[in-house]
Amino acid sequence: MKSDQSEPVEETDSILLSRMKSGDMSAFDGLFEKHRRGLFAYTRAMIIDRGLAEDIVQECFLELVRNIERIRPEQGAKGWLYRVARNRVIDALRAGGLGAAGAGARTADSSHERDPVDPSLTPLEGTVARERAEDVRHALEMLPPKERDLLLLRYFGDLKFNEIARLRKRPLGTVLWQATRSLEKIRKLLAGIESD
Amino acid sequence: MNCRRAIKILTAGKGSGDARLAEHLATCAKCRQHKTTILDLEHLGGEELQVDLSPVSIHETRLQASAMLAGRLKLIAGSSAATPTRFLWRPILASCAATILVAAIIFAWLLATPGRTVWNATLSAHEAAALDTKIELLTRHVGDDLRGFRNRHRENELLTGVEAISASLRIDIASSTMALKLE
Repeated sequence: MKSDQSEPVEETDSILLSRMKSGDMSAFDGLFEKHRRGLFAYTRAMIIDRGLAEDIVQECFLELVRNIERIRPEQGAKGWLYRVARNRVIDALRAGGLGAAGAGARTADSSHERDPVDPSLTPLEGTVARERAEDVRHALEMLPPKERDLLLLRYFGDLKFNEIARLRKRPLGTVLWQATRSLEKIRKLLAGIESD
Repeated sequence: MNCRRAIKILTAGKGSGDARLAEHLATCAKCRQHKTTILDLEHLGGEELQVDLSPVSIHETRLQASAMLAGRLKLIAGSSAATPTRFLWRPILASCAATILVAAIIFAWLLATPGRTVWNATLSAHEAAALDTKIELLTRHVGDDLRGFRNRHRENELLTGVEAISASLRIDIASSTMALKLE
């Protein structure tokens, strides 16, 4: 389980945003370093196309610089960045019909980039873990985009459920219920994949 | 603990150290699978977080952001030198407020004069109409009275005529009776 440490992180974000407002480039570097991998993981998993995902992440950070005066430092950058990324992803999905359809291409394309699951595992355990990860990825890609989006924000973007609720403008209870339902679907899909 | 509660706790990520949940998980395969699914997703998420943008993309983003930040600073510095905001905004606001006030006064005055005239005209028209109505009512009343008086007068005249005729008849009868008696 990931720990909920977002409060101090948000505090640091707010300091970095304040420094960015005064033109400090190292503050931008700090935010870029902290959030780019999460954003990239989220966008890549949502739209499959790696090049497009990179463009979206880049555009998110440039939007942050463009709108730095409008962003309140106490709000933090994380929620803002994911909101922009999510909107761009939705636009890309609508425009190009990308998504689960390209799943096979994406997994083949990028699975070689990841490090082995855990160096302490034996080769056999490593293979099993890698296969399991691929199954989970396939199950995720079979979900409808809205449900996939929720799980990716939580487990890839490391957003807390209340942050996701704010992002999606839904009550926390609704978001938790939707997450439970999506997890149920994943569980059933994994059971199906395993039985095949 | 029932499955629904257990799944809710597991989804919310608040299950660590919960003895009742652990007890439930030991007996319920479905909830155990739910927990495994969450752990799998967390594991996959951690793995995906290791993948970074391409060095070219990182470099491009930093370069563009740096240029934008520098440009923004130049813009801020330029604009603050050309227009001293604190000095300029107050007189503009004050002149706007004064213009609005003067316009409001003129508008109120312009509206008030015809308004008063219209009111007076309406009042006079109303009074005249009321007077007309009163006169008409009075005339109607007097007319009725006159008509009644005339009728009564005619009746009286008729009665008087009848009485006079009957009196003269009575005299004639009496005189002829006397003449007869004398004969």
